[in-house]
Amino acid sequence: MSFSTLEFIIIFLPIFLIIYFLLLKVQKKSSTIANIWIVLGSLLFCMYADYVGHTYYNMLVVSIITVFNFCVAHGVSYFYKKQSYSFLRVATFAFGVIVDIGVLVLYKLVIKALPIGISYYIFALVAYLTDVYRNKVCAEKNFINFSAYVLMFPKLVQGPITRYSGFSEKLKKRQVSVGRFDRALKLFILGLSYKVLVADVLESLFREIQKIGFESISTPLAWLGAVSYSLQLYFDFLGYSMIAVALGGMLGFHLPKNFDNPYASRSVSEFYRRWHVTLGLWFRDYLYIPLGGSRKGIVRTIINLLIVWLITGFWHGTTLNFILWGGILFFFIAIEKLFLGKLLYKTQVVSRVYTLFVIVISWVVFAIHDIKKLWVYITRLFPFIPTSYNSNVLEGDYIKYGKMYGVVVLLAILLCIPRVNKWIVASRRKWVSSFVGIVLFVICVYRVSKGLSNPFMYYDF
Amino acid sequence: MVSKKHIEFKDLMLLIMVLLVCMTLWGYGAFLKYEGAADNANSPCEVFAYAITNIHDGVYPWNYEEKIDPLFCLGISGETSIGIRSNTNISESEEASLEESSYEMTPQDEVTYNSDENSQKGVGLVASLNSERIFSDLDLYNIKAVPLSGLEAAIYENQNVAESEEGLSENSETEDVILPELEFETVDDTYFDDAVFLGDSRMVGVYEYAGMNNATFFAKTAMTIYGLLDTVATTDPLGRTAREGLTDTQYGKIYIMVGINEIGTGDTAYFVNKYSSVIDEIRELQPDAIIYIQGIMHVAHNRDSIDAYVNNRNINERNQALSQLADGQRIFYIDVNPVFDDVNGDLTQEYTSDDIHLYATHYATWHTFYLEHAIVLP
Repeated sequence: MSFSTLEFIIIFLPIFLIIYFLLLKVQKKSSTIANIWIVLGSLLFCMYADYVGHTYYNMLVVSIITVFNFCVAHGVSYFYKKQSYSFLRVATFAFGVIVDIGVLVLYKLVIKALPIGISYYIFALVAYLTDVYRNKVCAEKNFINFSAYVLMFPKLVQGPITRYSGFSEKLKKRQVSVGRFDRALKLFILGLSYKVLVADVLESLFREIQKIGFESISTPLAWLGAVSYSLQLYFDFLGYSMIAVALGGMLGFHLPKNFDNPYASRSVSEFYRRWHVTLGLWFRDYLYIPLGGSRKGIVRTIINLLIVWLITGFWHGTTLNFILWGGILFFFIAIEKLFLGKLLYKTQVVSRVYTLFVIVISWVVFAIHDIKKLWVYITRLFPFIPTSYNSNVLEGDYIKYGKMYGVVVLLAILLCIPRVNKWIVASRRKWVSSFVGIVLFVICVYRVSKGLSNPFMYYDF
Repeated sequence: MVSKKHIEFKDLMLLIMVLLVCMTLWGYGAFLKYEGAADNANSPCEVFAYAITNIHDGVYPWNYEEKIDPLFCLGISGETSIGIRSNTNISESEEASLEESSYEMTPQDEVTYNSDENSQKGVGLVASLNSERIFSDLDLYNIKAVPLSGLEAAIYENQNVAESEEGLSENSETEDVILPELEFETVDDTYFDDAVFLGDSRMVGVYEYAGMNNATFFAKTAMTIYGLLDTVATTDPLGRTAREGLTDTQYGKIYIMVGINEIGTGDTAYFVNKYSSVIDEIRELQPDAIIYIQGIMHVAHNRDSIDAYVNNRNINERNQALSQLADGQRIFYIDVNPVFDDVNGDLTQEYTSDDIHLYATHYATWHTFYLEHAIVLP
């Protein structure tokens, strides 16, 4: 039951929201009962979050980790009040963080069957523990409120990675209004459309290319595939994040934005300040700066960047290509830090072309897990590299797929332009947006249901 | 900034509209009872999805019960529906005979249309409309239960199959005397000058990557037997349907491969019945052509192991039934699966990324297979 399934949109969400709003009405002074409902609903969501079959398993893992962190945070805050126990404070904090990260590493490296959303909520919890340790926030005393914060289904599966400081007040008492709900609903539909009508369509282009086999695609098709994969990744995650923010809004919370028109960036460093913002900020605040950031000389800065980017790669996946991906990004961000950055910001066009080029290539590395296949794809992108495999290219294959997917690719490129986004956000206030919203919603539901009817993706063999 | 009252009215309208759409969908979904899908596919929503999809040609809400009886899918054998519940038009004695014959499932490979015993039995029994013959036909196609409401229709349909099959097998018996058994030979590429290929995405793959540029293709992704003749082919430069193409030109060889997309539609008998009538139609358009029925290509293990429909057990069942349509004279059955299968009889995992389609580089092997499995009429 992810956000773009019919079970979620048609059954879970309406029922959940109706009861939730009733509970908020019933208990006006605080929101504890509504928080209990969030916890229950989120556990249910978690149970059905994937079809692989470990349903109780997802629920159990997240519950245990929540209880554990609640206790650790309390310990840290208790020892903070008793000044003489500062060693115990450090020890408890370190124990909590090591266990959290240890669980994540264990799952990623050894067990492989990752419980849903674990990469995200572990990071949010580490941030919480650190903030409690630094005394930036008080440890939450109410276990219900704390579990509601951790489990909250809008952000459970794929973030955004939140900070507790933005939630503590809202957890105690919050309000919802019809106007706010309307805005959230429109954002929800827009996010759903990005996911279903843009990302999912583009995804099938990349799947077609995989179907052909990388040896047998023409160079233009290889580039079309790379661009379309970059767009697909963006709209998939953007759509998801928008839905998350919208759902948070419906519940009365304010979730942070994850994307800020990243493809308009003028350097790779800037790209990663605007792409998956909450993850970037997490790495900055809880890893890069504690390591010394850029204040301890140029050599340390470079080493810190290397550590951050290798861990970022590892966080995304444990196969070799993710480490390679992190390494490539490190390389470009490092040389930008050293000298390239200043040059880039003197130009408007060259800097953007450079950024897009590096990013698109890096997404290819991100996409293809098998290193041998990755190399084949690279040789298709750059046909002047000598190769040793048999190629069996259909002449004009890029025309065929261009006709099939060109419109969506162009639409997606258009939607990457900041001004277009600004216009869309601005026209949310116009009455016509309600109408457009309904139409988009119906189309999305139709598409989702059409995909569902086939156990296989679209059953188009 | 718009006034607050205005916003609320608009919001309520939007909310109500969305709720209405949701409830309509849900209501429609709940209206149909579909019990036989994969484990995760029996929520009302998915039934709605199933009902509006276009790939399960021939299945609509109004004939849904007939075509996909839940009993089929649940694998309940004949006794509940045929023996007990169908009490209207079958007399006691017929019921008794049913019990004897149809409850034991005959292993498929032991029964063939060409076996003497069967055809002899068939000739006499079909004439007298004896239900025993009919239900042994059902057994042959591995039918486990007959839709309750459509029992008579099923009898009628299968009788038709039986009769047409009888015709074929009789023909072959009589012609056997005149013509020697034809065997596959190895030929060169000119063989395909007057060949035409009809089919689904697997045939599109052959069209694009097998390098058989002299052949004609009427293929389209997601093709089914139900649309084989009347769907505009994406591979035809003139944008014709197969029927138009076969009307325009006389071909020497006709290759057909469909079956994977409609593997969840109807049952094997329904599918083969349709297949047989399509072949009859093609025969009318192309009286002299050799028709190759191609066995449906297997899927790889990753798909086979998780899919309630698209799995090799179903494919083999249908291939077995398809192979019976061949007469050894003008209609032949060829099966590419041994070329691409692994030791377990699944499509080799290394040959495919989506478990369904071959990588482009492997179509050359398929081309060779065609060259080595050609019939040359004397």
